[in-house]
Amino acid sequence: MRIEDILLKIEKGVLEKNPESVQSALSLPEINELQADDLFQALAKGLETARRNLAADRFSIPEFLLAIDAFKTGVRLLNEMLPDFSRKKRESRIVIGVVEGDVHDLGKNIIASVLDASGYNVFDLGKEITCDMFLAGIKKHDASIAALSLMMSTSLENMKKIIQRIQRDCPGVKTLVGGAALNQQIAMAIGSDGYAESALTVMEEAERILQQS
Amino acid sequence: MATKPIKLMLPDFSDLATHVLHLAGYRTPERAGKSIRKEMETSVEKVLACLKPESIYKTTDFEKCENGIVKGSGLHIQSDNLSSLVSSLNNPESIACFAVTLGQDLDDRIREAQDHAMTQAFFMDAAGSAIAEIFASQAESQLQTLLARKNLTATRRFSPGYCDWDLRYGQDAIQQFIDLQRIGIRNYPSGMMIPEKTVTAVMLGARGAEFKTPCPFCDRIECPHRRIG
Repeated sequence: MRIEDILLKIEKGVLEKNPESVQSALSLPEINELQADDLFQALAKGLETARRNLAADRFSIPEFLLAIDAFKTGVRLLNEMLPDFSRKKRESRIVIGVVEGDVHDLGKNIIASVLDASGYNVFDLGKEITCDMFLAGIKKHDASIAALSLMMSTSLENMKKIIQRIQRDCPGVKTLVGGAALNQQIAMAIGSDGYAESALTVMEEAERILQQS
Repeated sequence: MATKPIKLMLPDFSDLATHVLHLAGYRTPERAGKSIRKEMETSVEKVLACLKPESIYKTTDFEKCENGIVKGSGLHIQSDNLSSLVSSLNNPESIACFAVTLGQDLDDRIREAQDHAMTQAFFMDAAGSAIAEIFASQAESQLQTLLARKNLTATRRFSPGYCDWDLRYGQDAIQQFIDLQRIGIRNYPSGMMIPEKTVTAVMLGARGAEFKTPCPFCDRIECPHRRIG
């Protein structure tokens, strides 16, 4: 198979949400002739097209998640084939966690996957994260963004306090919030720099707040 | 009155699949492609395989409604909106309280799926939510029948976190009234319940009820949860 066709097969495998196709392409003997970066870029291209499909309403959220699953299959295989392979990531680092008082983390895990697949360095702090845990995570990972997730409105006050402490103790770090308990209005009212309504908008919102002075 | 279980019946697979796709954002099942339907069906099968549903209900006498608190023997519900509904009822006599849960195993399986198959976790979560709602509706229906045998008309179910019934205080009140730990339900200080796919609610039984929800007494016309009737 030609090199170009292999890369296209990898890209299409992600876009068509087909981990088996990605796996089959990465198992071809000709793979050894390719650079790891080229293989990764093919995976990333497929995912970027999937994300544009989501934005254009051609993909649903589950379809986009399937594309992410196919992308992650490819990355896992690359890491197995080439243990020294290291993905080029964006400079910005994000810590993400579910605010103290809440353990609903599926939404947070989906957002973390989307941000990771899009090239951010994502450090998942987990759930029931206190103010001190967020601050420690920001400092440990030198984060540019603290992403806070919340499903339950009863913990909104916790979220507000965490945002205030971050703004006081870690000036320059941007806050990004999301979850079922929030909307744009509430996010602004509690002082967050950004609001990510869903997996669809989180990328653009992360980029927007990073560009804020 | 002693607590008793509620009879719960699993929904038809095809109906459940449609419900799950709807929750996942598909207006009609046909809009979901083959790969999505396959993923969804696999996820639903996994959910059904690990379900350990439990249920419990208890009734008590209605005592009075004053200062925004609906009082029954052993149970106080602090809600101005529900109080307005109760004030409109003809001779309220009974308060029924129930809880249904899908069990901890489902939460654990969803968590495991997130490590390697996010789409599956997404559909499993949607299926869990769909089944919890279906079971809650079955509980509501059975309690309507139970109250009807006493010639009482039932209001619609009303859960902590609805309207102005504070989530934390509401879940605490129900926990103390029914002792939900008997069916493995624990409360967090925030009002969250574990297992996550758990629904609790109260219903009132009265000799007559022109309205069955607090919504007609509420100004929030734009509320997405508004129910009339």
